[in-house]
Amino acid sequence: MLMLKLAFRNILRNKRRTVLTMLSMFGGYFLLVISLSVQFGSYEQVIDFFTRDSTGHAQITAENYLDRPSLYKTVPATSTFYQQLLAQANVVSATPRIVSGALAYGVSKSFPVQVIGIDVVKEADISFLVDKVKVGRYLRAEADAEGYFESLIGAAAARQLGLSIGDELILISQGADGSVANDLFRVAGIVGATEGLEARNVYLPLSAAQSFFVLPEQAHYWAVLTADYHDGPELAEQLNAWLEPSAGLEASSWQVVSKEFYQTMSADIEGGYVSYFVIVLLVCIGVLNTVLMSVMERTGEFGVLKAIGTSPRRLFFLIVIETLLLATLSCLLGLLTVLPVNAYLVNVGFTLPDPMEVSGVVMDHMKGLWDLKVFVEPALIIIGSAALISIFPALRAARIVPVDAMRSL
Amino acid sequence: MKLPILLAIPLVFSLFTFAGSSHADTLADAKAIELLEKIDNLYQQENSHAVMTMEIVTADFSRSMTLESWALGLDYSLVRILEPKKEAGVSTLKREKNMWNFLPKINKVIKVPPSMMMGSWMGSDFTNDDLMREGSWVDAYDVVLSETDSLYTLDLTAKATTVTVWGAMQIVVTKDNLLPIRQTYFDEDGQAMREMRFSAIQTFGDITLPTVMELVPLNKPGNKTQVTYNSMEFDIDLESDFFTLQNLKKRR
Amino acid sequence: MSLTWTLAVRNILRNKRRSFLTILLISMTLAILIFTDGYIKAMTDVMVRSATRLYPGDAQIHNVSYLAERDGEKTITDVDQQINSLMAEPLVASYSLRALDFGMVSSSANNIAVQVVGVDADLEASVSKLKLSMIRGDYLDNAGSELQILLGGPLADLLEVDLGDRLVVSVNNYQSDDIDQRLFRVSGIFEMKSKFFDEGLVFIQLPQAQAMMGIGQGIHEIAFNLTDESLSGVKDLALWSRLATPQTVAEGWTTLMPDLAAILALTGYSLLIIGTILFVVATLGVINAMFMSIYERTYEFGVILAIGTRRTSVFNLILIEGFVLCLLALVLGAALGAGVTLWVGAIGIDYGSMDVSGVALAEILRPELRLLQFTELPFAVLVMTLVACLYPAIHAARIVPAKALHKSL
Repeated sequence: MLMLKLAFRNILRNKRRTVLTMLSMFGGYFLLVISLSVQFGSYEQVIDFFTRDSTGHAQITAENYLDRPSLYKTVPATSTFYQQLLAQANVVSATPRIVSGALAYGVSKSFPVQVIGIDVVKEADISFLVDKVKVGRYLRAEADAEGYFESLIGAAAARQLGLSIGDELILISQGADGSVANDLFRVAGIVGATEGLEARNVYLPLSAAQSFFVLPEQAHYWAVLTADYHDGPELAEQLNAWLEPSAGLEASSWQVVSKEFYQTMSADIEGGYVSYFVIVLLVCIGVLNTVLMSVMERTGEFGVLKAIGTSPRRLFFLIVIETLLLATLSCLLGLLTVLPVNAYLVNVGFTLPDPMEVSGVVMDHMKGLWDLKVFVEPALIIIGSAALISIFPALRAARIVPVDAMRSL
Repeated sequence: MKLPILLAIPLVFSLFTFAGSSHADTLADAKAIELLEKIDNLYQQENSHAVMTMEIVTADFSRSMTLESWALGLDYSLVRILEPKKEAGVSTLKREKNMWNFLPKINKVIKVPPSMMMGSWMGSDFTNDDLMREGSWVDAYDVVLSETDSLYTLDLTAKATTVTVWGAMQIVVTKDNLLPIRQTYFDEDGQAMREMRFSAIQTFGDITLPTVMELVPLNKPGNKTQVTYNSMEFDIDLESDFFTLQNLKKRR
Repeated sequence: MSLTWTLAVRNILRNKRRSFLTILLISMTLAILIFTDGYIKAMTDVMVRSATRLYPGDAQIHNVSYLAERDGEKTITDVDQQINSLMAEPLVASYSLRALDFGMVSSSANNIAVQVVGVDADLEASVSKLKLSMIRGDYLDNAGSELQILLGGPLADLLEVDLGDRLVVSVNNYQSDDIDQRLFRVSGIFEMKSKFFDEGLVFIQLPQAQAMMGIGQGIHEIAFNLTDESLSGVKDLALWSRLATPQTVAEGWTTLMPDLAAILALTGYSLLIIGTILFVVATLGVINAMFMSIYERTYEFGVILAIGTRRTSVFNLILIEGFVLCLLALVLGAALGAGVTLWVGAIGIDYGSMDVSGVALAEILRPELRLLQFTELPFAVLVMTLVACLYPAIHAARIVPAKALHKSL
């Protein structure tokens, strides 16, 4: 306790120096928090968007479907199955999808497309497909008066085939029973940009896709959402336990479904740590300077202390504690100041000069994140480095030879 | 034999008579070529009209179709699905080197693009390309004849420059009626890749031939395609103007 | 003025430790900036090269209507002229002519849709890594048999073929509007470690492809590499307009592969962020150090101000001290930065087979030095230092002699 009091008093003694030292550490903490917040915030954005929009947090597929997708590897898409799925703990929502290839014909040309059968209602709640409709409108699930179902087509498909709203789209493919799948659909809307990920897709209502591909009551996968994308793996495990008895079905987390995306994100995050290391290094140098200064200044004082019997160890710890105290105070102050700033970042974010697209996700804002680690990690790093950096000056203080030291008084 | 239309070439021997070859044949070679020709001419008629049943079995589905076909030589053919009802009316027209499909459900005629040419025809083990191929197999393969008491075996080896994926073929023929029972396709390493089995010999008018043909791909266990000719007529009244896009679209 | 300079230098030398630490701080800032810049540049280059030099080339020339639908009929017909224009450009290092279209390749076991590419063996080897990716058999030989065909290992497995086996390739012949089928024998197998290439491309001799496609002497694509690959990323490079003709267009990879461009824009952005953070932290450190030095000399300043030194002189003195420190720091920093960069560059950072957004980092990363690291960056650091010194300098100039003289050290 005495040590702590002494440390405190020492700090308060030279206010300007204290303030400046704290400023370095405060600045470092503040910046680290902001960087972490924005970086993790944008990852969250991207991953959240991506998983909601395409893969879901976990997927239920037939075994081996992910390795070698095939028209024939299906999952049940009945309402019973859906009810049961929803009844599972942690399942927030789910939507079934059919995916297969087909040849699309417009006026005269043909074009290979990917056909995606969607549950019109569920899909609108879960993914962002509705927002991607650029021309025309979203799908209706029912056929129109003449018995034609609607479709959404990607911008590249629309352009290649020369199709616009209200036109006829012909799809030809192979049904699951081997027959020639062929049908006409009305174009209700055009989706995305010509270079986007959806550019070569055709979206059909699920029932239309099921009869087209002859997959009654089936789909190729269920995209399942839980509260947060982080829980993807747990969700998958849980679903696997539930699916155990049914032959041939498995659940996989989004990290498994989109391995490449996941790896890219992970690599990016790791890269970020390099810059933090750098910041911390600079903070340390600044801190070293001041702490050394303060030790040097008080050489005489320490000499006296030692002469009257203070152990070297005590002096050592005194310095270290002083620095730790400064660091902690700086971080606390930093925390207080950064909270409102982070609030702004999380809610408003800052607009990027050029909107960016990462893996098909357009980001025009970088947002922050509320997360314990964003505040705690930098504090630990700063305090830890401060402690480390103070060792050198502390050692010097401990080694002071009283006689020499007192000469400078 | 060139089976009219659908089951055309790969199952088939040369159309052209082997005249004018200049290499010195041994007696055995000459006999081999003669036999080849004879069998070749078996299905080769000027024109034909047939109704057949095709059964397709794969690991993922099985189905059965009834087809009606008309053919004029090698250049013109029209095939129409009669059953199942869902696909009744779906037709394929071949005129020389072009192919079209008619899909009655959407009332459209689609020209088969190159990318679909090698795809399977109607889900069977035959490819669109199988229907299109032509060529003189006698020119394309070297043939050697061997025999047992009841069977002739023709071993065909592809010449180095022949445009085919097969390295060799073997055709087994019964001696007494000179009709094939089995045709096996080998890749170049000598591994049998697919086999065609012939049975159920019947006579239509003047012509006697096997009416059941079963194609089994040996690398896809469980798959097979079987064609049974229910009826066949030859030398009917058929001209090239029958084979038009108009007729393709007619629902009968 | 020169008195001020002398004084400044003397002051710096007075407290060597502090001066050293301050110099260290500033020099580290520069060193880190240099290294980070070198690292990011190398990363960018490796990504670009991995993407472009594996196969696509830094830039490509096509018929203006070709890219929209990859229509095999839209060829480049004035090939010789194009070649002449290319060779006349000093920036162009090498080029390759390609005739390509979609087709089918059949073996006795399987039929697969692929992209059939006809190339001139020697020209292609100067642009892409095809020749270096051979794992079995031989690369194409212009003088060799016309039955040569190269395919990827995975594709060979799917077709169940090996060297010497028969393959029949079918493509659309635009002249006869027919299918052209030819026999080939597998002459070589490659592995480019990219699923897209290894499963989707086959290579044959250019004249064969031209004959099969019925395009005469025409080609579909001229891929070329620049002497400086980083230039290929410049969207409005004068080269593109120089090479363009009414019939054809030249584009760099940023236009041809916009996804990759987006990712790289992101990394450039990162450098900016890191730089800003570095500067802020370093500035704080410098201010800290300068203040300490002033603080020590408060009495001294009090004296000289009392005897009539002008305030501006004091102001200048501090600034000059900072300036001199900075100069020394810049030299040290440049040396440090260059040293570390070269050292890491010599060792190289091997990311193994990590994928960053779909582009495998196939090469070893070697941070590199470049001019701006030694001109722009040091200048920025100098400005930063001077700005940092402003506050302390102003403070020093405003010292009230009477108060100052009260302090004794």
